[in-house]
Amino acid sequence: MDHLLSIITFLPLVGALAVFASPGATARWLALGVSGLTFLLSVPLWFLYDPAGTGLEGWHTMQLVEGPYPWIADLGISYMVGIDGIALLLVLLTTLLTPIVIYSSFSSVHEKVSQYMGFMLVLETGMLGAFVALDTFLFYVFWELMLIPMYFIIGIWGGPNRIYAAVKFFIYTVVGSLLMLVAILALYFFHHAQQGFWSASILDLYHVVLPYRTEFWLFIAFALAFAIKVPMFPVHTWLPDAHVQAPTGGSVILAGVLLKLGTFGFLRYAMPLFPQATHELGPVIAGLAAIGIVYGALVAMVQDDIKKLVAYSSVSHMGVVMLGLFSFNTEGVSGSVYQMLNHGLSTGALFLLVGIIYERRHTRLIAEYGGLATAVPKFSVVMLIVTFSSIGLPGLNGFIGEALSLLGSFHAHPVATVVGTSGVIFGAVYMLWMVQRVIFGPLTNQANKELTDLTGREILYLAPILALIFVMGLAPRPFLQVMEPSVDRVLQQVNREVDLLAVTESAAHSGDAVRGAHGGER
Amino acid sequence: MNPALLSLVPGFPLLGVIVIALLNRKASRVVAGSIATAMVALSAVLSFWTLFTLVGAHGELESLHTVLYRWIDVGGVDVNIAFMADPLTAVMMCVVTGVGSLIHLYSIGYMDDPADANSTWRFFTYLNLFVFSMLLLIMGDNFLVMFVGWEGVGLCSYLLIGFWYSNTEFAKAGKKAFVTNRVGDFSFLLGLFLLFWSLGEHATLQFSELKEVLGAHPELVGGHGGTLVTAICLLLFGGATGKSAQIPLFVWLPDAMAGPTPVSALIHAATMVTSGIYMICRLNFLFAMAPVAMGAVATIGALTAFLAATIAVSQNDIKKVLAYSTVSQLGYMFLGVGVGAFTAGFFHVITHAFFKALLFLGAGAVIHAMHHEQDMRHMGGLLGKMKITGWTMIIAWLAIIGFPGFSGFFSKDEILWLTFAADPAQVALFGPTVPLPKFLWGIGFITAILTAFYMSRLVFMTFFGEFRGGRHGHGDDHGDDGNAHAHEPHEVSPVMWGPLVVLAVLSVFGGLLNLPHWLHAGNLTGWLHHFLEPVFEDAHMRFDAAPEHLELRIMALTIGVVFFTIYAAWQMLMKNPEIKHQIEHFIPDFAIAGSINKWWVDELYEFAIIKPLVLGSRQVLWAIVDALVIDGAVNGTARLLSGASRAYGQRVQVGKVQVYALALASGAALLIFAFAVGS
Repeated sequence: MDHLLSIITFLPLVGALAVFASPGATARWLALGVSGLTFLLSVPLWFLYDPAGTGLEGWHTMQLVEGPYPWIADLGISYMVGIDGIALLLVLLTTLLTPIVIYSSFSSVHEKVSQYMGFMLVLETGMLGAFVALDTFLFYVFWELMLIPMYFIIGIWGGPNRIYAAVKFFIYTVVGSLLMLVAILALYFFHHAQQGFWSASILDLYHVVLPYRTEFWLFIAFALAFAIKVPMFPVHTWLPDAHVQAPTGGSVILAGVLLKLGTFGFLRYAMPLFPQATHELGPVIAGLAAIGIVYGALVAMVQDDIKKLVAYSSVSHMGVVMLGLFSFNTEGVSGSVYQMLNHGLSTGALFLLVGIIYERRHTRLIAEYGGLATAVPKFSVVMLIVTFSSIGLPGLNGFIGEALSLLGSFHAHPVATVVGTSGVIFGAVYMLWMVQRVIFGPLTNQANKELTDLTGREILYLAPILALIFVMGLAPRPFLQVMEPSVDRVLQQVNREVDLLAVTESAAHSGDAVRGAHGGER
Repeated sequence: MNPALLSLVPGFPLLGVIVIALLNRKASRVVAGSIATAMVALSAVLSFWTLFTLVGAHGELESLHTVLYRWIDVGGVDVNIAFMADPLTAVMMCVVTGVGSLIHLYSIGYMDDPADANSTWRFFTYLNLFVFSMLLLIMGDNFLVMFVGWEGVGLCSYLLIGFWYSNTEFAKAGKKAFVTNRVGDFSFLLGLFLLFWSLGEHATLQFSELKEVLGAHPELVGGHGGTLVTAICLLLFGGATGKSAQIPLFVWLPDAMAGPTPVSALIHAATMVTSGIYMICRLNFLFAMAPVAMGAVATIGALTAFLAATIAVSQNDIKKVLAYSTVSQLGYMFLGVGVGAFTAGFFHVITHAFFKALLFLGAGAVIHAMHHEQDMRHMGGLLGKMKITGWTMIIAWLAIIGFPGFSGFFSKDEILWLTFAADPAQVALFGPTVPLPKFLWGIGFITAILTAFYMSRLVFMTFFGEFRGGRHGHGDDHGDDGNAHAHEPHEVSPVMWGPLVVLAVLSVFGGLLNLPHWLHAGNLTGWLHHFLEPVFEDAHMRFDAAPEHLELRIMALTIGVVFFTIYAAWQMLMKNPEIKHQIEHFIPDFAIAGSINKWWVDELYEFAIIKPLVLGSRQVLWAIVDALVIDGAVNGTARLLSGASRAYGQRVQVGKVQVYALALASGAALLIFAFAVGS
């Protein structure tokens, strides 16, 4: 099991080859089998990972590290993977959601089934790789690898306006990732200049010390790439289109995992690499996050299409995650990571539920529904639970993440947090208004009277999410304990700001001082 | 008693939730109701045991405390799922579980509509979930467990108001309640954040630790009267205005009457809505540090009491009258705690729980007997037809208007007197020397008159005079055979009137809990006051030690005016309607219209907040910002690059756009690179 992370990462890709080659009916089960096996293999990670990081030196706690194995040795580019507590949780989220999505697609995808299932598995490898990569070029490869299958999933299996949505998704993301690539390159050159050897390892790049103006521009490049992915206001408009056009499975993965790569990117790359810029631009990002919370919620409120409503709610929820990240304290960042998981689960579940009624009624218009509690009680109960998870009812998972994120960010950005906290009102408004119009009220539409309630298969794939909604609300400690040391170590790096500013000022007089001071710190 | 047993107090109702939910439709009304009632009754037994343990300890034992498990532990946040029972908690536990089990029992009889047969299990699940949440709220030893309960009771309120969800109006009322409460929670959370961070390294969310920290380091929150502590208290109080339906967030409570009547009695009268008062009592040591905030609490309370009473006088729906009456009485409680009379305010929580639960249950019995008729104009003369309900309601009426000797008399009189006697420096909304307490007493006094009027009106219109009912009749006058088609109102079953009788007894004798000193009742004098002293003593509230005769004179004045009001109401409403018309002549038209139309507060919110928000979101944020500005920029760039004016969409060649996008991004990337390297 020396290469467990690599096995988990590439198993779906290998499986995808077989799935592409199989006929549809086999491909379904094969894909489910592969993704299920990937999940089972990822479970031991939880036990192998040592949250305390006993015996590990320095501020980083990367564990289960493989490599570095030289890849392009002359350029210092290598294959290296490993996880900290944050990546661990996101890997588990990914391996859990993928089989759920594949299983849920059994009834929703009927054309080009093998390709769809194959793309899902390729996507899984891309996502897992991006979480575990410790080499920035490797990260970039995985980052781009995600883009392609998602582009096809939207473009081939999407709704009527799928091409527009897929292209928009592509353009936005490509713009961001190219900026990031250039920033990675720049960083890579700076590292060589300062340290005298070529390396693309993130752990090495963390040691690069840059003057503020350079940091500023590189941070902007990274931040834009990640902000598009999150998505933050005002670069969010690809998301509603992508979600509405994407097939259910695509939406679940998109909301559940892909968006997290944006926030994960901030936490792993943009923030610790450029601490000065992070702190300088913190208020701007916190402000945009707060605007995003309110803006996303208000626009969600006036949607007629349930899926679009959920899509905009993501803009709002991810705003909370961003606020938490830029709190620069343990409470806020831990809450933020927690909220990433929550959003993956509850928004994933919401998309699954929307998919379930869409399959039956072929409409997502709120006005077409009403009184579902009478027609499909099981569905309605699940919908209510997920709704309250989404709006942060204490006792369920959403509260822990939301409260900690906001608590933390209140310390760093009180004004933005006051604005952002109003999300607890608007969140209740748009979700409960939707529930009122879809679930409650009289059952008048004949088509709804004939709806069938959740099937066994649907209950089966919703059950793990529902269980986690309760478990993570009532017993958050195991999750928090896994992430806290990693969060603290990231924060140590991010909060070096004060020292660095002093160093940078002296650097204006002598370029060597930067490296000197830095070396001393090591 | 072993403190670990405390966990069982909320544990039993939770067990009930699980068992009934698992049985779901297999549990009939009687089965589900019996399980639910038994669970709350078991909690009640433990609650009284807790109370007697504390009473028996004679102050040797400050509180019982038990930790169930460590819940959240990250950074400076370290919170247990833990319960605490000090005298304040113990009394409240007994009220919640005691009144709660009576209302559960009553519900078994009330929820017998065959149309609900398949959903009574849901009703009792929610009702038990409510009691569980309410117990978390009061027993939590820290802010977060309290907040779990705080939101949990809100959830149950939402679910129970919308219990008959097929009715869109009811579902809307549920949503309105939850959202309005969320507005309060927004404020509450901010207060919590502010408090947490102001404590710095002493940060704690546990009540007892907070008290110690503030005792040792009052400077952390800016010291007595500091801006910081004032802001914290005002924000926390903002949360209370939501949950306890005070200005400006009271609008949800009257609509909440859409729920089944036992729900109105339990949640929207006796227990949940008093959470805000309970919270301030719990944090008395904090609020006492902020005289400005105390002044705000008292003033909002008095104004709400008055405003709600002016609306109650003209409502015709029996539940609406009681709803506004509840808002008004809650205002009294806030007035009490706001002027620093914590015991008096809390005493009114208790007596109000008795008589208002009774009033609602009585009203429910009437509505049940009248086949869902709630309009008092179609009632009348019911005393003859429903003797037990009628007489117990009359007792509750006497209690709420403050008839001497009844429970409400003692609690309300104490609030009014202590308001009159409060030191202006501790109610310093407009400065420490402004005689705000005297002014607030005036409002409270006028409200007492209004209360006597609208409650007398309710009782007279419902139980006296001629029966004006029968509008739901089908010409079927077999009234006494007890079948479902009987339209002649008759007394309800024992399972329903039993709880009425118990509550009536409590409404009469509840005053014994805290008899005033001028009765010279020996050990019984101020029992509650003494029992709660350990909780409130550190607040150091000061009241004018005026001569006894002044207190008695003010009380006599109140009693006299109340008596006169009852007499006047009888004359106006029952004997001589001409007087009523003449009096109405003297009242400005806008005041009458205002009262009937609830002062247009809902309309104001609709017009000033909700409409602009929805319209702005749709027309500006979505249509303009999202679609025109942002997407316009994105699409425009793409179009510009493709060099043609055709919109890209389904017709455009995908490959081409990608190339241009790549070109665009590469250009931008190079620029960034140049900036970064060049700087």
